[in-house]
Amino acid sequence: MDIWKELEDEGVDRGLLEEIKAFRCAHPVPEEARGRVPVPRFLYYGKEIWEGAAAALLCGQHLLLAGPKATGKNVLAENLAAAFGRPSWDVSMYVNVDAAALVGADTLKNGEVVFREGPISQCARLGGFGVLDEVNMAKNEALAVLHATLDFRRVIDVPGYDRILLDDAARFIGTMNYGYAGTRELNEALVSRFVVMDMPVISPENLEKLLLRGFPQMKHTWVEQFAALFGDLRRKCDSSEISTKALDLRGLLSALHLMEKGIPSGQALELGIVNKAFDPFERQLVADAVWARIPKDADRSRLFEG
Amino acid sequence: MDREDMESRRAENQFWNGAGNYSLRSDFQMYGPDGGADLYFNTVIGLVYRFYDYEKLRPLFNTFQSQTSGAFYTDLFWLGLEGAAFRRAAGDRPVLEELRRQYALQVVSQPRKEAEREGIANLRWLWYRRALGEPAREDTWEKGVLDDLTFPPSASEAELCSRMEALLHKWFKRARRSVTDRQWAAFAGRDILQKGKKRGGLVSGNALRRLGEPGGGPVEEGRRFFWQKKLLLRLGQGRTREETLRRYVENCFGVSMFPPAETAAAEKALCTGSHKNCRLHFTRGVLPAREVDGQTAWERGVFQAQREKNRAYYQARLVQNQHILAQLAQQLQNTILLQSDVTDSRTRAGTLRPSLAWRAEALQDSRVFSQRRRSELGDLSVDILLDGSASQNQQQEKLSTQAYLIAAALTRCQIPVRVSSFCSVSGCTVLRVFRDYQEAEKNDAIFDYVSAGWNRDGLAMRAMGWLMEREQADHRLLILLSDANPNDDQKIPREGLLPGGRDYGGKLGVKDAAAEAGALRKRGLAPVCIFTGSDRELPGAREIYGRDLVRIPSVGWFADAVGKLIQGKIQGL
Repeated sequence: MDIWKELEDEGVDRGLLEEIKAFRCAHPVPEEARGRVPVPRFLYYGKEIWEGAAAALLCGQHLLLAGPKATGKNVLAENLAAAFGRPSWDVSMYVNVDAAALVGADTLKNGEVVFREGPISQCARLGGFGVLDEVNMAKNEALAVLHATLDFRRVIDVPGYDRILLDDAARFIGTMNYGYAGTRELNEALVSRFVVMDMPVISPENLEKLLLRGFPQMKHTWVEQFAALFGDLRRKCDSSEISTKALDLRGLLSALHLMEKGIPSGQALELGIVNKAFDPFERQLVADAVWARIPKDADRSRLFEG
Repeated sequence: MDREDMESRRAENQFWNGAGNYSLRSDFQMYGPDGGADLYFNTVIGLVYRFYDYEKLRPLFNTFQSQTSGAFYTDLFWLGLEGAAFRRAAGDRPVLEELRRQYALQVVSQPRKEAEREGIANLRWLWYRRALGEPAREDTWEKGVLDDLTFPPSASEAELCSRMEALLHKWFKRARRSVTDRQWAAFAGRDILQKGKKRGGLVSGNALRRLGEPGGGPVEEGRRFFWQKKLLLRLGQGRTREETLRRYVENCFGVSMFPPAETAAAEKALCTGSHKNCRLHFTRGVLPAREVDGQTAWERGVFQAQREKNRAYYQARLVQNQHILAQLAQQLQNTILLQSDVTDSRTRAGTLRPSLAWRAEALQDSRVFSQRRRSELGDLSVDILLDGSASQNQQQEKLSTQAYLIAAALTRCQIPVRVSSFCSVSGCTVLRVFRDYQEAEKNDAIFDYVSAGWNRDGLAMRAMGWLMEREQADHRLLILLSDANPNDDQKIPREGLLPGGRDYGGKLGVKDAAAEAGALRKRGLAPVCIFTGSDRELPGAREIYGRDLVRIPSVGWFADAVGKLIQGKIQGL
């Protein structure tokens, strides 16, 4: 995917794109992190969000992408790292993550105790984009270690070792799904260090674009139906009839991959979407929604050209 | 929930798949011969609601209801609407063609009932032979009916109704309606649709509750209890004579579980502000041994009959209920087991961990030992408070069964549970405790649940908070089953010396209940509501309970929802 062409086609401000290119030139990728620059497969569709996020990063801000499931938070984070030409570190937050897991810990090397960098320290030193996935899954005590990193001080202070200064190009992008089971409120001190972007639900037109981008061979009728199916599932979630387990864009894309490979639609959609709901009754409701849009026995030739 | 509840909810979801608007409720649902919700037809019913303004079609359905052949006319009209909606939607939803074909194959796989030429089975059979593109032999009459039933997809609601009436007049000799008929039909039937129980065809949807009725629910004329009668004293409403009311409440619901001084202290502390002039009665349902008058004896008899119905309902579904109970208990036990996991932690004493030994020498870190600890659940106690007002009187058997299942499952897991209900009678809020925390053997008392009177949710929550704080527990969970529609005939007194008061209901009732729920939250007794009300009451429910609200389509889902809530609470401990 040529991300520049895609962004231009999306209508993203040319001036902004030029500034991103200038940023790339000013901050070459260190050799040891070259392999970490992502090559995105999907573009985040949404001009305003793209422009807002890019402008914030150019101004040296860190981003917090907040939104419900399947709004493209991680796709946008990956796209941004690719466009800015930065190596990226994906840090999945969970309840037991602690400061050592983020910043680093002691280890033995050649008989000496040395500091072994964690992903945050590495990202800071090498000027990468650190993606803090589901940042509100972690305890606030663990995140407190990031306060000095994320504010104007731009340092990581590890007791007993030198301070790690953040490279000029380093940015952190948090993602969070507010109200997810098990998530907690982020404390204000942490939130104030981010620019918060409220991620909108993907529009049917943008979802169609996304599907066509991933599956250019798919017949337009079925692109529309799959996009509509995703809308049906979202409405069902919004009305609390089903949980968000089956509202899974990655799952839908996986199912389409399977169909492209020749697996019948029924089986592929069960694997990618229906079976994501483990409660038997919920699974039945999801299945009904799916079969009210997509036939169970459609083969590749019915869904795809060529 | 039982299978009927599940299939009904499934049918609603299929309807919404077609309608795309979750605030709509269908008057009709379609079930297959096996009792399962029919995907194709329920989706098409949803599409009819999407494409047409159903309110304009409803009057015609209403007139059918009052006619002897009404069920036939209804089914026939739905065949026509099915065809119209299908032709209108097929372009946008290609899968419909296949779903219709499968449905048609299912219909025509039954033998044709030629002998009943004018019956719906024969016409439906012929209709779906046409849908399959294989029309069967049709006589002139059959052909005429089906041709006229093939409504153009672009027809307006008025045109659909007029075509249907013309068809019925021409082929079934049904008289055309007068203008008066039409006007009546536009209003009639709106409140009389009852949830159909028959399976294997079209049935009407959920009953519409008449919430304006005293007691907050449907009340049969001529069967009203005295507290459901409209009060004559609208202004300057005071308190019913203490002795009369106490005696009446004791005779109907049971003697107080507290000595008079303690009840008086509770009233002094709790019946303040909006609840001034109210009374409280806490009871375990032990009836006094004294003689009662005829009216009270009759009411006791009604209550007793309901209790027997509750037990009979449970027994009639014993196998299914025991299965649900086993499943619920197993889920909870698994959750508890997962929480009581053994964890290894780094300590300064215990079993030496060689892999960490270097830290002692190099970093002077003495935590190089490990200890195994079993994490224990703290004391969790669960309180279930059921709305015991007359608004629940259509579902008492189901509600008591569901409450019993939850209590029995928690008992198996040794989680203390108390099940109570509340209602309000002439200004006295009665809290009936069926089964207290320690009374593991008293789950059967839950079948004594009966619904009557009004519901003063704010005072009930306040009283429940008071009752809960009398016991020690590390973690508490208060679950209310409610339609979030506070409604009491005891007014909210005006401040100062002004006579009269404001009605406890509507926005004021919701505001009061929200304030009480907020007060409980501040004291760490956050109430969670299992909401059974309609869309109309949903904003009020959100105002009272905020995010602590679980919506269930019917009482049949109560045990399931509570089971999940308790699991969530255990996981959070």
